[in-house]
Amino acid sequence: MATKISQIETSQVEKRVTLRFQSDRGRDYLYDDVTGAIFPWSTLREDVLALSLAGRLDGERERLADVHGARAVDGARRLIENWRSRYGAFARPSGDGLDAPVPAPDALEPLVRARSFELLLVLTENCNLRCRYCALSETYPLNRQRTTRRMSMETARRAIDWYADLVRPQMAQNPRKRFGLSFYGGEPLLNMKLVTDVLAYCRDAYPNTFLPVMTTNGLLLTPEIVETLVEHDVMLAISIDGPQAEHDRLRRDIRGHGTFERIAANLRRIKADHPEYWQRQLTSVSVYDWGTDVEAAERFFDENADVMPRTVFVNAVGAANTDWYERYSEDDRRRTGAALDRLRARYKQAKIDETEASHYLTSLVGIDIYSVLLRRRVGDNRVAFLPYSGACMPGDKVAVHVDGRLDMCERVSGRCPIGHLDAGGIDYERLGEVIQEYRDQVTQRCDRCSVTKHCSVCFSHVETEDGFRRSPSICANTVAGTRQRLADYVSVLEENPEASFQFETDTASLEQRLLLQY
Amino acid sequence: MTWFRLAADVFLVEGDGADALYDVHGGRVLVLDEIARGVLHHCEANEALPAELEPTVKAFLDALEEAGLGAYEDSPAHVEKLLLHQPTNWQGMCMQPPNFSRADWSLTDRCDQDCAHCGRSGETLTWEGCRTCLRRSAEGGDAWMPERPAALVAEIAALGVRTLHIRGGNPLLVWDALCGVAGAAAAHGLELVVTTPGTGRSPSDIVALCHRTGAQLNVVVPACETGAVEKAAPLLDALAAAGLPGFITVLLTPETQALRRTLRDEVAARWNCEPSFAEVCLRSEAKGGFRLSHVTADARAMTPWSNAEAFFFRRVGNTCTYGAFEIGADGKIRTCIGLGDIHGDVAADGLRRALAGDGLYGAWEQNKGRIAPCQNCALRLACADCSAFEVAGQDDAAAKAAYCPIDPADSTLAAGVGACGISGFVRGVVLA
Repeated sequence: MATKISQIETSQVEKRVTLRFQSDRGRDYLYDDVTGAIFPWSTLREDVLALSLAGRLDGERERLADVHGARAVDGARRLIENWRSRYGAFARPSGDGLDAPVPAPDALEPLVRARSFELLLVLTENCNLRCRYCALSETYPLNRQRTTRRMSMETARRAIDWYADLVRPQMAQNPRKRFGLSFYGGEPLLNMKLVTDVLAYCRDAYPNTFLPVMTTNGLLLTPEIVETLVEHDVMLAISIDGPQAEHDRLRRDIRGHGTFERIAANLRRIKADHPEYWQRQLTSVSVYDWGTDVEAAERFFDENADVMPRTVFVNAVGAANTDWYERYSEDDRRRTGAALDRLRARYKQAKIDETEASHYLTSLVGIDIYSVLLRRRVGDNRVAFLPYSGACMPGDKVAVHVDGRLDMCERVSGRCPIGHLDAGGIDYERLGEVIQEYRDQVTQRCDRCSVTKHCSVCFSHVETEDGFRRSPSICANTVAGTRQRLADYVSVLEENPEASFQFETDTASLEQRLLLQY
Repeated sequence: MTWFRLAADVFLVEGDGADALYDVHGGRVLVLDEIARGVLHHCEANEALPAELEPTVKAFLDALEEAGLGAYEDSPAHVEKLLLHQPTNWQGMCMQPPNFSRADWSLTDRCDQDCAHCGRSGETLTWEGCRTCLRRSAEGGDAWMPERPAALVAEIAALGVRTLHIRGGNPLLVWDALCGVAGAAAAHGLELVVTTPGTGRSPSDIVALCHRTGAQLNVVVPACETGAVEKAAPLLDALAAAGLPGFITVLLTPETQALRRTLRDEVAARWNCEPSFAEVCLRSEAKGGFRLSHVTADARAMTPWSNAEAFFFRRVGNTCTYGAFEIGADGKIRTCIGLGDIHGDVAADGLRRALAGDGLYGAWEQNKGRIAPCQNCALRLACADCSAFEVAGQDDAAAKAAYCPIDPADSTLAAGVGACGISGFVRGVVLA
């Protein structure tokens, strides 16, 4: 009977947006995407919700009471009706014309001025490595490719002046705010002269305005360069994939030689010369694929924490617009999946036991659970005209290319620029068109999705040769991933209601205890 | 086996002596006795209920279920607390703008009155002193004034501040500066409130200023002074005759707090206005058993929250000072006249740099969960009184009794809620 009742169609106006999942113990839960709330669930509650949404609960109450008891039915009804009436839970209006229209260009500009938080300078399109999975290589034919072009100081200065003017209203409103200034490439240290000049210019012209950040392969971190980076307190994200064999498997120099030993030597020297800087401002970012022994990588970073900076990101090699994974077999995929499952189990047990988990483990597995903590709340501010997916509003970040062209971030292919320094900066008419295309092609049906608050899909994930297109697999993967991380999250808290999830990056801090303990 | 879990919008708040159950949506607080406290801690630890429950305990849990405050479960379950309205605290480049709402600016320390408690901040304790013209120092010197006051007002407006509150001393004594600031505030669309004892300038000038700039007067009646009402009467009469909105704040002392009702009735009768009350006393008087009149007269310290956001805000912010800062007569940034910590120096560094440190924002988050003795009190989220913040961290631990009748360590609080004069949204649950 339960299955039958659960299949009742809700009205066309409101669509049910919930996701059922089970904890490791087998306990049923329901996640509601309207409120972001998680409910212990049961067959009875499912029946009552389905009947309630169909407007048939009054007529079926007696029959349910015969099976479950009147008290239990009334309790389930109270729970569901309270959440429906107080917070609008379980179902969302669905259909065309519900989203706010994309604002006109003159209304978009003040929004960007009020929100933008990071300027990225692509200092060079060249690199001293030939990593086999590089986003600028033929592995990703859609992306911009490696060239010898580099940014001039003139372009960089114009970019910085333009951006400082863009965010002037925020500076007036938020005296503590610092804006990200990210040095990007290719390998940004190939244009170190420009890094030095830009840092000096920002210090003199815009003191206490920018937070400088650099993503680098670490090969060129000579003592002289490091002195400059220390002087300006530049945060470094250094690409290290794991132990030497794993790192050198894919991260090789122009002559095809491994790079691990040279980078490790640089890191040892930085730690010896500038231990406080090493501790505070150096981080590792890692990539893995189906050829990686992720358990060995986790052990490596944990056992070498005295040299290897703390890991803050571990990402899989991107799977969109590439045939990269065709080199691996189904066994490779299964082996990697099994290893990830074991690491996930280890992470959960560490949280239950309140023991330490390594930075690599936290970045690889814990970040999924943190994303449950960070799921968007009803009161959080997404712009009304871009309510779905995990996309930034274009303009939140601005990437300036070597020639002054503007992109919405460093991850997009470059085929869809949003302006040019030569044309006065952001082209707000174009910006509106980009947002509209994304809405039309990608998020049009998201109002009926059950995991919108967990979606990390953004412009860079849906680029194709024909523009922005949503592939069915990207949504299926989001749903599956959400179910897994919700299950992981409640499984820990079932075993230890006091379990602590500390989330902290350079841009956010959130502690589970703050949310639960009163 | 059966489990019982509290609902997502019901919070069990621990205190030293008693715990309290907060029904966020229903706006209720239930102070629990030892038995109720023990039962709910057992439930919230995800432990199964005993097969045989005491009838009173069973009736208690049934009542919670029927009120929608909890539910029986057939296995251990994670019930996540309501996550609405609890934003992430973004740092660094993603930091959200502070919600600046009010700036207090002391234009002068000069005053033409000679009130006994004024300007003795080292010796006195004040309650709601921000509503009054009480000064930190009675030396009466000229205040710091920027070269271009209008530019400072523009900077204040650019922060998003909505209300500019001009204080003193008596700002009517620096008339030209007041007119300049008021004009700039009007030009930037700021709501302007001027707090003054109402003397030192003709009522007609003041009424004209109010008409010109939209300024609202907060006239302080220092009840410590003989004939204080009569001194303020000409201005209050003129404001009433002009139909101008304004406020009246009566400043009480231990000697005059008995006059509270009389003064309220007199003000209401003459100017058709319900006055606010503020109080000041010597620290020695607080140690001697002085009780604030609002503890006994209005019981206003315990205040129900108006909505769920307001409840959650009490968890993370200072309900009184959040969004506010004071530019003192010395050009220093503080949170308010009642709190002495300096967070920046406008005179030396300009406003933006003076607000670039973390001190002010930390003070905004100084909620009752972070200060002694309130952090040990189960009713800390039911209380909206700012007195505790003024006393916290000072030597006058005995002063706590002046503003709060509750002992956080009292394990019999559930039975004694009524005796504390606490209003109806807080009730006791006694199962023993």
